[in-house]
Amino acid sequence: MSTLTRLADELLMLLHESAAYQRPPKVRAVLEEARTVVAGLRRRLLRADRRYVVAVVGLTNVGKSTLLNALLGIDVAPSRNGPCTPAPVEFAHGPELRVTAHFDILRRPSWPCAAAEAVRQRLDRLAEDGASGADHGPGKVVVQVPHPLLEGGLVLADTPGFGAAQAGGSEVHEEALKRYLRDEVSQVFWVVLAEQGIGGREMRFHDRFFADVCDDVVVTGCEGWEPAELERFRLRFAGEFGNRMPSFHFVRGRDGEEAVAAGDDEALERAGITDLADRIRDLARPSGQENAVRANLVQLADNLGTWLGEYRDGMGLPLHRRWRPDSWDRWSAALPGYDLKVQIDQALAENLP
Amino acid sequence: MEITDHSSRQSLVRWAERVRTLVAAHDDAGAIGTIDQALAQYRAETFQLAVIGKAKRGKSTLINALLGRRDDLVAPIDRLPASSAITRFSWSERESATVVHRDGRRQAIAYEQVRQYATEEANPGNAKGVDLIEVTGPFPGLERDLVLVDTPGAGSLHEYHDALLHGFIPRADAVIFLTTVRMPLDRDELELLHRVRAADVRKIAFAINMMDKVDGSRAGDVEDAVTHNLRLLAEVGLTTARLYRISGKRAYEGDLAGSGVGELAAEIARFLAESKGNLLDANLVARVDRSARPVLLSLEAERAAGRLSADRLDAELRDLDHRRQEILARRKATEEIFLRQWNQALNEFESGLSVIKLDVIQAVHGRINAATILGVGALKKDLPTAIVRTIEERLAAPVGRLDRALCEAVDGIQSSYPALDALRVGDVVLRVRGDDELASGLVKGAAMVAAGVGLSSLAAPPAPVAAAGIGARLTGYVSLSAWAYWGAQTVLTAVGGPLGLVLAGAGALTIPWAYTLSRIKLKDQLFGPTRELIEAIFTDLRAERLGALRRVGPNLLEAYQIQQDRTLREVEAGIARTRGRDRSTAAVAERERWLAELRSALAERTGDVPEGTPTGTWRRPDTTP
Repeated sequence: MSTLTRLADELLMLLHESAAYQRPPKVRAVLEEARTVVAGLRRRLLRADRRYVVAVVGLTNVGKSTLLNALLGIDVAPSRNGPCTPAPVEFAHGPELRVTAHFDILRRPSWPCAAAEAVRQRLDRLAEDGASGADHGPGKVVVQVPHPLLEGGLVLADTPGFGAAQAGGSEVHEEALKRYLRDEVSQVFWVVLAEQGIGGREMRFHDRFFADVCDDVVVTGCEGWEPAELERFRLRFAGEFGNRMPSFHFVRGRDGEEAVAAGDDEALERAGITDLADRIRDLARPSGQENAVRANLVQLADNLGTWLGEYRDGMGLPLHRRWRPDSWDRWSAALPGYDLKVQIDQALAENLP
Repeated sequence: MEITDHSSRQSLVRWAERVRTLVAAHDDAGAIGTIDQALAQYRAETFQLAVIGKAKRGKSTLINALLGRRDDLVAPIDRLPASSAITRFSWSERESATVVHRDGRRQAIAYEQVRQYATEEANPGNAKGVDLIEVTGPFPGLERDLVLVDTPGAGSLHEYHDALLHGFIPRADAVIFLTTVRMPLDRDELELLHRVRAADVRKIAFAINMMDKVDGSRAGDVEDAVTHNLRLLAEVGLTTARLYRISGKRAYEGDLAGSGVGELAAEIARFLAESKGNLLDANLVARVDRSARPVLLSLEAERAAGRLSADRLDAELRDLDHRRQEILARRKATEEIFLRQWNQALNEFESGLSVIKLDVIQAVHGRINAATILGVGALKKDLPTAIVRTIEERLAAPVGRLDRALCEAVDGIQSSYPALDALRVGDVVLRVRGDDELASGLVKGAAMVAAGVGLSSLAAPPAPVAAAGIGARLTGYVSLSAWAYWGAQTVLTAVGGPLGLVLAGAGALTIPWAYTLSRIKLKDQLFGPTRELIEAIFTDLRAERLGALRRVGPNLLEAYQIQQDRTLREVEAGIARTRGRDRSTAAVAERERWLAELRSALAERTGDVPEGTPTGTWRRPDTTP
């Protein structure tokens, strides 16, 4: 068991026991909430050895596919406004371009493709089949791409957009997406469109279905936005994320696609694509996941410490103790000298007068 | 279309006032209020054209273009969702801007200050208490008799924007519904459309904005969006022949011809000239009719049921009285039965626990015994999962029984009160049960054990079984929401999730143990700690979790008592109302006369209102797209 996992365990115990120990319902609720977050983070650590699926999630037509095209350096993801399949499309590493449709365990037809164009046509055809009869589409489509970003087990997934009203009131897309997020996805990149901002409905969707696996908001369509405007964008929406502040990546997907087509690395970097690819690569490494968890733990501890401090000040009388005394003693004795624990300690310490 | 002349306006007003008097005789304050408001709007002859749509569809940009402004002083534009207030623009020789505060205070401001009140950025959360902003000026693009209304966007993160918008919609005479070519019509927009239809707004013009964002290579997108949108509109019953394709931005920047906005504006002008009078008339008739008709219908229904006859009133009175007696008589007994059933179910579950505990200990110890000395390492790894799984297995059946017994107890109080507002209570329950993610976890006892004792993956990597997955989410849900719901709606916890709540988090107890365990070297030393762990889990289950469930019983009962008191009060009010009715033949005849009068008054005008498809595109002969 890694030191980080042990730290999470210790923190869980501290939060759990102290939540039971505290009387004010509000304090209890906040400690319980913190415990849930830590439990989620711990689960993420345990998932590290599985194949690592990074899903790109967002409203219909915010440029998910454009973004994937730019990331993978080839024009394989369909990026039109037409009917789209309710099935997610996974991009995984493979020796050659190949499309495999997963209908069920025994029915997985597979087509080698000579070029990106053929992949796109195949995906379009599968999408049309899927759209014509909801039952007949594949559950998932896997595209093998010989791209270095995907080496080492990273899988990038293009997911069906949510939120668009479907004719016939069908909500197949959203159901499929929820299932997929729950069962297969390790990490979510949430794509929003700069000019549309973040709406109430998508925020609720985020909160319910992927808040625990999302540390990154990718803002696309930033062509023509000034840095100051982007900062204002961040400030406006960052407040809505509460305890789990994601990082915002501002990218220009279209510019990125063009840069790929022109083979212009500098332009690709200016479009924000290179940074994003680095971030994904980083996350896919076990150490990257650890870092993500570390950052989350520190932030949680900061927020929790601040909240407890404010609660005490706001009540006008001292909150008797933050932590159950024996739990705190055990926590204090654990993992001496571990840098992360020192950081968390500073945020959480009793700070009694 | 002829212009409505003065005398016909007068007669229409007289008609509305007559209906108002008739409705007033029946004492329906709500209906009177709406009629008064409609009359005031009609007398002022203002025609309100509102630009509505989702956030970031370019409403304010279009407003500026329609006003003919070259700056965004009066309708501020931003790249982030901007407008946070309803703003009315009307023509006048003098420039003025007035903030109407929620408390009725009116404050004159300069154009340059509008931004300070009308935007989310400068007035976050409407901290300044703005109700409405009125802007007048010699706007070159604005018709003299038109009030153009800018509204906050729907579906943003600021929920009060929606509230403001929804409050305004019934007062609009016509709307421009703005969508974008960038995104297909979404659910928020459909909901908004439903709202517009429900408010009976008679004219809706659809415009697809941001055509400037379309470059040649994506021309297919426009056709896709148009097809998609038309299909959805048809589905909600709006068959529109025309979607205006516009670019508010180009128009605002001065390119009126290339923007499509000129066409839209011309259409509005033509429409106003042709049918403003008719539409205002029609809107008044519709609004009066919409308020008065329910009053008429409810009375006609009463009469059809024979309720207005003296005998019927007596019978009804007896019936109500009977119900009241019944409530009073059964109340006590039912409450007692409920509490007994609730506690009995818990007692039975609890009494079974000690046997199950021993059983689990035995099973786990058996496993330890079976391991070879060399297998101790593997055993230590497996044990936490094994323990949790064993507990899950052994508890599955009893928890299922407990679940059923508790549900039966609750059903008992739910069904045995006559006229209990089952729908309202059921609503809450259904919402929770129907919660797609949690439903399976909440209603199935076994899954809940997994949820509670669960977090298997927490105790022993790597064991991310499906059940633990549910459990993890359930735990999260319960711990986050339980406090919020606890006080307000005990029904929820009681019917939907007591077990989830009660058993949630017990798995956390295995955590300290998992590393105590990692330090043990000898097999024989495993027996003690395993026993302690299992004991601890069961003690916790019994003391804390079951204790919490025990406390839910009375809370639940209290919620039902409140509910039931309300029902009783309603029944008693009904009795009082029925008693107070005049049952003489003369009074019945009088009501009959009044009813006939209201019916004929309404029929007099509503025959004039075109029925069927009042909404749709502007009325014009040319309907080619």
